Amino acid sequence: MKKSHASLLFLVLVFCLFFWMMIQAQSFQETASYFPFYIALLAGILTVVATIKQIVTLKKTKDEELFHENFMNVLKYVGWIVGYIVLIYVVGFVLASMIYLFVFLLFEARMSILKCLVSTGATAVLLIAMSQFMDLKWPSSLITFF
Amino acid sequence: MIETLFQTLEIVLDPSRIGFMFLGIMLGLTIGLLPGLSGTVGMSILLPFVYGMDPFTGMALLIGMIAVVHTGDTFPSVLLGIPGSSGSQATIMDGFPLAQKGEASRALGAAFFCSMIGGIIGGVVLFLVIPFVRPLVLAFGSPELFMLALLGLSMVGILSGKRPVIGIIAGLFGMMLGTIGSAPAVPEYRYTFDWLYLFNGIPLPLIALGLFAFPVLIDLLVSNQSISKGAKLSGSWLTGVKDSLSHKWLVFRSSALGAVTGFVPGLGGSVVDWLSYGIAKQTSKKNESFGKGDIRGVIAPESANNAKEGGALIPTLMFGIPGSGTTAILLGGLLLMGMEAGPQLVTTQLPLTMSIIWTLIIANIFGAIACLLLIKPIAKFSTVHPSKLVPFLAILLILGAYQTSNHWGDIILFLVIGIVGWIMKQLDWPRAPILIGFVLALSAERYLWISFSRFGLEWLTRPGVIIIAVLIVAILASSFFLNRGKKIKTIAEDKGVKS
Repeated sequence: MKKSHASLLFLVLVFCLFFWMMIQAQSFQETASYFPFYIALLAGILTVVATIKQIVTLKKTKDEELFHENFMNVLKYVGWIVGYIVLIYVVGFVLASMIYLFVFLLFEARMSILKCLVSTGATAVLLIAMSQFMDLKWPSSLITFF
Repeated sequence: MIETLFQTLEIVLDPSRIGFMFLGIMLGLTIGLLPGLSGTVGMSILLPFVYGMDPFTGMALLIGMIAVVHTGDTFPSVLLGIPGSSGSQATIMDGFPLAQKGEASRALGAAFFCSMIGGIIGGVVLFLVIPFVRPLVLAFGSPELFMLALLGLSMVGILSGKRPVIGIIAGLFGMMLGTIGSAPAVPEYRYTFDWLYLFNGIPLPLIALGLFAFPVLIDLLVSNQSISKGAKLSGSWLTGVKDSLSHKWLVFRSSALGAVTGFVPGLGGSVVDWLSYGIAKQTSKKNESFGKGDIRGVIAPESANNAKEGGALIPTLMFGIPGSGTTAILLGGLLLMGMEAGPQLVTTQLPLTMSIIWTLIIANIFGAIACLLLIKPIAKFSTVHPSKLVPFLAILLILGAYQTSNHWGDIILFLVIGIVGWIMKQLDWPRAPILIGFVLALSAERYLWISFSRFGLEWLTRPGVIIIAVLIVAILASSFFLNRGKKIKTIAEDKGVKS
């Protein structure tokens, strides 16, 4: 997808969001509705102006720039983070972090198994220490090991 | 008063109190270093320990921590482009580009030196305003506070660069995000989808982490290059200190602005760095390099965010009006030590206030020295390959995001806002206006509602309102004319090249 097309699509999505927020604002009590209503209205108008400007620019100039040159890699790395979050939900924060870190360092950073083990172990110790001394809370999970 | 000031220095320099102050400084620096953790977390950790302590020792511990959070938070802002806390968001604008050029040490040197000077100026301001503080605080009514929120919003125009309309849309988007949760005037929950997590609104650290940190994680991995992009680490922290000295007026101006803005309850915390950055950009000559790695873009917010702490303590200590979560917990700490905030802190309890001023100054000096010593080892992070750095950061950021309200919603929102932030970055949408809009939405709505319900339309004629309105118009007009001037200059240069 070209960058200019992506920009246009994003503007349309943002307009839909503002429009929905404006409609929704009318269902609130009067005192609670005027601020979000007028902000959404103003934002909606400006989004239409920006969209028209974008269309005019699109017609005037030929844009060959892509939205992202390496989009598959972006999806891959977003996938790593989503996978990590899912893992936290299933096995808990400490174990998920250890698995994620070990696998990532091994396959993406191509570090040796020993270095991966040391890094993972050190991180686990640091996390547990931080939790103890700084009273940090960990996300709840389906299965809890720690 | 001067006599009391020097008598208190002896109390503050007592070895046991210095020990507690250092403990606070160490915790404050650690909190600042970890993205997502704020001064509120630090205060919550320390609060149980101050129970029953003598007030001078307890304050050394608490103020030592508060004073340096905005010194330590510069590391992630400059080296990773991730705000260490809400007070260092604007530092990213020029600090991170400097790190990308291999000038991380210079940026950090300037930031820490300015933080120190700012902190000292904040302490001095706290000392100087004690006799005049009461009428000044009472002079700010809801209409003036609403106008101050608008003044903050006017910065959106300055920060939007060549695309002011998109910048304003982003700012309004931030305001809409700020309306999520309970309405300030009536018991109404807006845009919550009946999800209990959203009833209190979206936490500010999540917005900052999502918009700035998530895109950095992804882009670093995809680029397959270290933050410094292979550029060797050049320049020492001394260069940064020299830069700061050569812009001494900017340091002084920004510090004074920080102290004054911090003084306004509920406004200073997250806005002061943007306000300072925007004004520095607006008033500096040859400001085209702002946003591309201009050292003045580091000096201005860093001077202001530490100075803010001195200003923020004025309404907190003198009137018991906390301006932020951190200062609210500080009030709790005072109660635990058998003290109470109020005018007595400038009469019978004056020595305690003086000890707070000394602690603020001493902690800022030691905090900056500790950070300056740490620059060399920590700056090397900018040369580490992303595949070896990002997984650790991802763990830290998700942990930090979860600490904002200890709810799974924190992690989900971090991911969603992160993806939106990444798309905005790709499409060259300015992300800073979202934060400004978000921060000011609640106070703008609340003060506007109070102004109308108390004064009708008459509040528009108040002298304070008119003065601030003139200031806003001046800022917007100068921004417009500067942009126009730049456009004309660019067109003329283009024509020159073509001919």
